[in-house]
Amino acid sequence: MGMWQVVKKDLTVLGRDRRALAVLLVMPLVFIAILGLSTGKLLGWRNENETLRVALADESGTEASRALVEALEGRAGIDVARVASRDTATGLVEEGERTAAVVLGPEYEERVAALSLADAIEPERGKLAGGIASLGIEVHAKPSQTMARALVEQVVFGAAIRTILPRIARRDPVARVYLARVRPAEPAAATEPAAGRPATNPMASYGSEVYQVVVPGYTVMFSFFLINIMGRSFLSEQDLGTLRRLRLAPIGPSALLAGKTVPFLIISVLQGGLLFLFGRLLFGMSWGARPAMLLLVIASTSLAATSLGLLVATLVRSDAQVSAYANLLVITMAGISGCFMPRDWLPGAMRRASLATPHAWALMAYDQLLTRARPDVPRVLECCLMLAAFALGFFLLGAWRFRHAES
Amino acid sequence: MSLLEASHLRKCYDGHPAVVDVSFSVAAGEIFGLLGPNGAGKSTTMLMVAGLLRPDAGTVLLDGMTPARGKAFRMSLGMVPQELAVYPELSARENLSFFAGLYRLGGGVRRTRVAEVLALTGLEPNADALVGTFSGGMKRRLNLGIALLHRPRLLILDEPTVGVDPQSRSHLLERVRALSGEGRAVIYASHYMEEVQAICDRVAIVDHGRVIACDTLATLLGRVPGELELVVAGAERRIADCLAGVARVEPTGDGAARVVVGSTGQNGSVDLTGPLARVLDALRACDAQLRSVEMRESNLERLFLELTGHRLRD
Repeated sequence: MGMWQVVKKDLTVLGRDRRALAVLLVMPLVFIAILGLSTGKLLGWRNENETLRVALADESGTEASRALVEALEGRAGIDVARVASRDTATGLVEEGERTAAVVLGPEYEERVAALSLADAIEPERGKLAGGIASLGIEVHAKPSQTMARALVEQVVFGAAIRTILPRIARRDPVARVYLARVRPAEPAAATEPAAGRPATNPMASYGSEVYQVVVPGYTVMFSFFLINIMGRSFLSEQDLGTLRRLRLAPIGPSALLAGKTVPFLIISVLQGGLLFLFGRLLFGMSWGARPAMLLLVIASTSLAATSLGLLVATLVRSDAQVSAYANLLVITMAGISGCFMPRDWLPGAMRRASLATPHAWALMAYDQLLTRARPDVPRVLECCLMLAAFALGFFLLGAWRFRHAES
Repeated sequence: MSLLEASHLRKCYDGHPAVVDVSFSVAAGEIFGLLGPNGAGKSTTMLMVAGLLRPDAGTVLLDGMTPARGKAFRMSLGMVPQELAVYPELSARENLSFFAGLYRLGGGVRRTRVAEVLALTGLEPNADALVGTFSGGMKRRLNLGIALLHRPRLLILDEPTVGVDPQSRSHLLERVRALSGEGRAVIYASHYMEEVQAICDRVAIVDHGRVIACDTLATLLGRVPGELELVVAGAERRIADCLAGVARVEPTGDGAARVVVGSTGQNGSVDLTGPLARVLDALRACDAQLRSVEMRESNLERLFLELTGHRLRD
């Protein structure tokens, strides 16, 4: 009974503390909104970041190269500006006007003519194994735009294959007979894409991937920002003298600590839930194949975060200590665990070291649920169990500190 | 029979003794004063009595229970800490209701007790206002009220009137007297000797972590009887020479001197006619001018000075 009295009281106090509520609920939403806007995901609204701006120089000027240029121009997500020369194209990239320069070399038609049907069907094995370079196509971008360059290469190569394939098929005696049977009226339409058909936007999927990886990272980090608020809540009780009064009341230390923790747990779960809900409603974020399991991960992450908050709260003695300990812990653990960048990018040693943080387990669970078509459910459950174990460990340490704080 | 027995309490912080050896008992209906300067060990003693601090040595028994009895012990105890231990973000009613809930008062009983305490502390008109808007005195009254919700058998008040206006102070002291009248034991810790002298039945004087005197107020005051004093003007050195062996002379610092004729004894039992005549003769002989005649009453401040050599608020 005593525990719920404390829960009710703290929820009331928190509800009347607008600043704390803003930090806990509004700030993460603002942050995620900024993130959504920067990846161009707001309610289908497209910004410039969602379009690959390409300067294209066709040094070939042949039927084959013109077909490729038209295919690229008809593709969604790419804004193609035709320019007269290679120098103009690369100049536009240098000036920052265009993300990448695509140069279709003079021998493009010749290289296309040399391809067999097998080369086009299995591009990774035959004459196309070298990618766009095999066709005499070059893509230039600034060194900082490696991701965009890779995307442009991929898009150009895909478009090239789609325009090349019908041409080769028409040349190949076996394919010609086959095409005549299945598409008697429009023999070329089976494989050649319509010029104006909007294909998948490559940047849109890139943005989605960023969102699916980055949002959980920041969600986990924000969960642990609670440490600050919890530390200050305990400190405030200490300064007011009410903590002593609570210790004097007929309520056990564990019930008291649980009572102090539960309101923050509720807020943390609410915070995580709101982040995902906003991600979904405003930015079309995917909840993955098992959305219900997201709740489990949110709850376990919140449990670990609030228990760590409790432990820190029993250690600090001043506002300055709260800021120092909490911020150091939040930023360091977030950095080590991969909240700021995909965990796959972390060096192996750091990835292993990060397993000592609850953040890492939460991120692994989110990774399974949000980026895998078939999440490994036992793996997700294992992550949640680890988070619960962290929570228990932090809570027990906090309870021990609390019991011995004044004696 | 004593409700509370504190025996040979001792507590050190990082090797520095805060309480060296403190023993006392408090009976039901008694107001027991703990008097001492800041840092004397009063608060540490009370925290040990309340079970919030584990003594390094010694025992505390409240109604036969040690603090280890936990919830039963705490239900018998109410404490008014020196800090304003109330939530400024909640109203007076919400504060009271919250603590009432912690003391397992539910439903109708809780509402009744909260209403009683609001009436008792005179906070009814402001019951639903946020405590953050209260004056210091109102917060102090609420601070006291919270400790009364569960009707404890022993009430510990730690400097309950610090920063309180005279009206609220008088209200608080009246409340404490009334509580004693209801049969509750009260420990009243303060460095305001006037308050202790005004309401306490027995007093323990604490200094440097030890009880240096503990008795009924009358007995303690009897140890420092009143004194008849004359304030005289004139050559201080000459006056001192004239009165050597006749009376004690204390300079006042403003060119005058205080001549202590003699002690009045317990209840004014000593006849001071003779000593007074001798002092007046001596003063006449050295041409000193008599400015005023005063009775210095016995009080705890003087007792403390006598026992320790320093003042309470040094």
